[in-house]
Amino acid sequence: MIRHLCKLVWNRKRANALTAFQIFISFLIVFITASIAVDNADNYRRPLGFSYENRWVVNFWRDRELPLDSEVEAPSRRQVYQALESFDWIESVASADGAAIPYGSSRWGSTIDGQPVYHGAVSDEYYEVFNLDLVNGRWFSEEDAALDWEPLVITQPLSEALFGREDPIGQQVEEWKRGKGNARVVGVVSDYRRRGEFSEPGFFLLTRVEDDAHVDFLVKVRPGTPLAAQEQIDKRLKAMAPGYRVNITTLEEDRASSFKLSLIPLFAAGVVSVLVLGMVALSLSGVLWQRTTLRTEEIGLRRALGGSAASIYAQLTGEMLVVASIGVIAGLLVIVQFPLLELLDYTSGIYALSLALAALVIYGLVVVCSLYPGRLACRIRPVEALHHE
Amino acid sequence: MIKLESIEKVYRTEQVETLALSNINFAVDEGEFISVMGPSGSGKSTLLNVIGLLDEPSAGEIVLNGQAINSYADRYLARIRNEEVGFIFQSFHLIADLNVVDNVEIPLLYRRGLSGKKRRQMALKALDRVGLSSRVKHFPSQLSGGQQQRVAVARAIVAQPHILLADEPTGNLDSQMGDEIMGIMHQLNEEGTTIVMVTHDQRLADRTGRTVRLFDGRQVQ
Ligand SMILES: Nc1ncnc2c1ncn2[C@@H]1O[C@H](COP(=O)(O)OP(=O)(O)OP(=O)(O)O)[C@@H](O)[C@H]1O
Ligand SMILES: [Mg+2]
Repeated sequence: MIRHLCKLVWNRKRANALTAFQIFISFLIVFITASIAVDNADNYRRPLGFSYENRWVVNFWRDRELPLDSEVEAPSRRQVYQALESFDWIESVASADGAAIPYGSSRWGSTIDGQPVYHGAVSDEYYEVFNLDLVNGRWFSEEDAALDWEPLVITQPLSEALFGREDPIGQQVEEWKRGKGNARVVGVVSDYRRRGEFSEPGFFLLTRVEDDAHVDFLVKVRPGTPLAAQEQIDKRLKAMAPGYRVNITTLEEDRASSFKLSLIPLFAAGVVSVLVLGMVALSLSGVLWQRTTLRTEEIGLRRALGGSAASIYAQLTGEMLVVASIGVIAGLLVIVQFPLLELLDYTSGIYALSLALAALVIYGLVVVCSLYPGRLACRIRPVEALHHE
Repeated sequence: MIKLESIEKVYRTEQVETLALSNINFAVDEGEFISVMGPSGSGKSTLLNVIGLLDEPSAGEIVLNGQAINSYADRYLARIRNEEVGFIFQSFHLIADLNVVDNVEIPLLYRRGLSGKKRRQMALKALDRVGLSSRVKHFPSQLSGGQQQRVAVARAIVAQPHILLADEPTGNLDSQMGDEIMGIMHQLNEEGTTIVMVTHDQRLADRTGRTVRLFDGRQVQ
């Protein structure tokens, strides 16, 4: 029967070419959407590397509008810590430069061994505040200040990329030229994907923050602390340094807005897919409906020769599936070029799953679109179809 | 082989009710070749369609090859049509987008357990029967009327049915081509196929075993 279907499709190639082309285009678009979705889902299930619940970010900076010569004393990092720690609902305090703040927008990056690596500087308390997951070596400590080399904590994916299966602890990172220059890995955390759940596995490198660097403060508050408590921080810090500004956000808020931003490509691709699929669905149903009316005689004849209504239905759907397969195979041939051209750098698993999903959507669409015309075809009575003019 | 008892067929449309067949009773024995005659509109095609299970009678009983037709469920009818009956129509009803041999294979597609090779073999044999071995890859539009009807005959006999139903099989052909088709049908009959043929042509009817005559849906003889 399949050979018969292929023959029918081939012998009517002119009528089928447009449909196959539409399927080809929609398969490509659905594949791209599916690959974004699968990639997002794949990233989502990976470890994030830090905890965000009940963590707040406190930005505290000198107002730019303040005249430069005004005598406002800059509070020291120690003073801010003390002010924050004095609230009994704040459990711990850390500080970090902007590039290490989770969900933050600023980032520092460089290339190490051909890998783009992002980095940020953090205080020793950072580990505790974010509940980082140390898998090898150690975290920073006070004694590190006395070292004449720069200690680094890196993420597991970065460790694998740089050192493979070798133990990274004690390894030098030649390219790292900041701080004290000569840098060595002291610890590995499972991951640190500061741009959130939808970001790639993190190639991230942490250093100890320098004493005079500008930092933001990170606090871990007791569960259930009301947002109104932010007011108290605001008041106390402003009292300490008039002319300074304070801004407080919760990581949960930052996470929510980062989510929205990360999902924009998926949303856009999804909208395009739905529109394209809608148009293809209309066109497919139209083609099928037209076919059943144009082929009434053929359908009646097949019924007379022993075809059941169900077999007619299967034949019409089957023909469409063959046409769809031509579009899908053409699409596949194009899509396998993507990795060769380095257009999309997905893993083969994500590729395969996205292809399977896209094919499922296309074939599902064909089957759904054949439902109504197929039912019309089943209702054709052979006697009437064969009633000669 | 074929037995009709008190067959009645009423066509109902919104305005009119047509009694196309009324109280039809007759039997056709195995190996018989009978003709059905009658004026236009007398119900000949309707009768043939009822025998071939393309149309459901409004009342009455049909027995085909010893099997009483007691259900008009689609799948069941499709199977009986496929296994017991071959149809030849006045207009050939070939599928224009399939070549000759693919057209002939169609009834075999609806039969389980036949390999593609076997189907092809059977189709070629049927085409050989009707003398069209040299035209198997032609498309219907590339054939003469007589050749097209011969393809239709091959398609009707390819599944080796016991019963062949022909509705004015030579109506669209000139007399020479008509004779060709009749020759093939007589040959099939000699080999044991039971044939019921509708015709307007007394000359053709005379060559069949007997004639059933219809007038206004009634059997007159
Ligand atoms: N689908 C239908 N709906 C309503 N009436 C029908 C239908 N098919 C046939 N009839 C009527 O039934 C009667 C018998 O029709 P049928 O086609 O059997 O005649 P026929 O003897 O084959 O005529 P012809 O020699 O012209 O082919 C006619 O009066 C016809 O109008
Ligand atoms: Mg007729």
